[in-house]
Amino acid sequence: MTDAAHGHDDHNHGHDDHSHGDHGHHAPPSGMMRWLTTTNHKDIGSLYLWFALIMLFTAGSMALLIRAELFQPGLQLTNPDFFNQLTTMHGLIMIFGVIMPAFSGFANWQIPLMLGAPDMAFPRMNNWAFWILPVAGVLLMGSFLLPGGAVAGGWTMYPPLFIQGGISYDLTILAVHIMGLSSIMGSINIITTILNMRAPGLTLMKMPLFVWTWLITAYLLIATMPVLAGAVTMLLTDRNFGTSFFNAAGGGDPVMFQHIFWFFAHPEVYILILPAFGIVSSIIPTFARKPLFGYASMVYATASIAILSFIVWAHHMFSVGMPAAAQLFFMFSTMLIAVPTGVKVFNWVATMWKGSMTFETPMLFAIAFVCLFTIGGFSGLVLAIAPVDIQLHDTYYVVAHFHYVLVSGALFSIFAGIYYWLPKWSGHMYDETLGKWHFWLSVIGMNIVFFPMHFLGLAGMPRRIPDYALQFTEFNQIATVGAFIFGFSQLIFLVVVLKAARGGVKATDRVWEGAEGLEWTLPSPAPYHTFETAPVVK
Amino acid sequence: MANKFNGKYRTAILLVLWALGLFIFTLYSGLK
Repeated sequence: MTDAAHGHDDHNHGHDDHSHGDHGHHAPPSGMMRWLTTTNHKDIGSLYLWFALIMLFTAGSMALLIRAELFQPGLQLTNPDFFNQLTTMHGLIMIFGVIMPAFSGFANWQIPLMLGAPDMAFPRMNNWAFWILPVAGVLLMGSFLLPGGAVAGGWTMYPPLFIQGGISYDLTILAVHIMGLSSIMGSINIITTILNMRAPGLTLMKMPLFVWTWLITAYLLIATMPVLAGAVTMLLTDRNFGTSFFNAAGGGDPVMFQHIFWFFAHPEVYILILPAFGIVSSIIPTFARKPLFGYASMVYATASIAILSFIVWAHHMFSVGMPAAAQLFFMFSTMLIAVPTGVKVFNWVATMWKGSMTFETPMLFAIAFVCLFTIGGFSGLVLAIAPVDIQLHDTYYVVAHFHYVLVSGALFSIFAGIYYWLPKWSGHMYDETLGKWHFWLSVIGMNIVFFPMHFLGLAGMPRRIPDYALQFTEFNQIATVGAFIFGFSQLIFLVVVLKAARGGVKATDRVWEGAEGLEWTLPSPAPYHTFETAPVVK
Repeated sequence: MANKFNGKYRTAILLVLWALGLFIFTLYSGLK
């Protein structure tokens, strides 16, 4: 694929590349300063991934507390308000603090390596985009300690609840602004890098699909994050400056918030899954030892999903009330998304068809992704049917649906990607036995938690409640047992990552027999500076 | 190599202008 004119500079120390002309003229910072001031895409990628891992355990602990409370009816461990704080913060942190930063970590590590670029287009902005994230994290987590506790109005931030809460609501709005700014800076960097810094010969339609999915994701981010910023700014002025955008008492319209919010948040759903499609599309061809089936159709399907994501937002609001014509429009436009998604699932299966498949941990997670994400997609189709959604809205069926999409979808793809690229990043193979334990416990645990939630929802159990009617007890107990299996099995993942980061069997350059692409032409671990001379792609 | 990267500022400025415009339009859409 390439003249391997790849990275020749393998010194491993922090070297700030803000001046290309004065290599080695000043000592690189070390220790904490190295990480605070780094502009290296690999360092920043690692920072994003470590941040996401820490947040995964933070928000995961909240989930376990939620499930422990729901083990039996009645109130055992939490009061209702604290329970609502837990569900709200679990959602906010998992979305903005885990899934999005993890994908940004992959983007930072992989996009320059896959494009043959020496770094991201704006390395200093890259540093800022990461380092404002922990500030938002502290604001969110710190609000637990404030009078009234953390926000409890749900991650969707609906007024009037969000207009009425205490100081933590203002801090959360500030945190959302910061996280949005970080995402906008990241997406500008990614779009600019992909459009301007590809290696000679690497045309758009030759890019790895992971890069394509991130390019489209970055466009989604920049087309929606400013909308979210506008929405929460209006919340802020309603709360503090006497405006009445959403305050019905002053002539405002709370439903308008829902429209604006979901105009952001439905594309956000695809922001959380398109990079997952890219990761899985990198892994399946490697372990099936066949090129990706239908590359061009994958690109067009990804773009179609992104475009459609802007015209489906009100399917989150069927129960608010809207004209029948609007219900039909949003119902059918939502169902239409199944077409390009189906193209993708077909292509992944067709890639595996008659391949020389092996089942290392990344492939196991990728296959689980294809199967289980599809279940989440199908339950999404069920929810898209407006009259059915009237029944299922705000029940555990919805909780089951979006956890199949986000846990066995987004999170499993992140696990798959980390197992896949960790040898390239760390230079060491991970422990395959522990990896398989992690996979099987995760996949079994995850299904035990979330599959019974379909039944709970169909039976009418509402979401976001700390107590429930007796007839829901058994399925809740099963779900809680599964949650603890799933939760504690993530400690195995932590051990695997730490072991590989500290040492282990040396990884080869190509790592996987079937791996294709520029990143595999580099040594393992990838040198600190790579592709300072661009490779030529044929 | 340097020439190849000149376009990056144009791309970035367009994206920043787009984001700012969208933010202001969202606020404007909240006014009745």
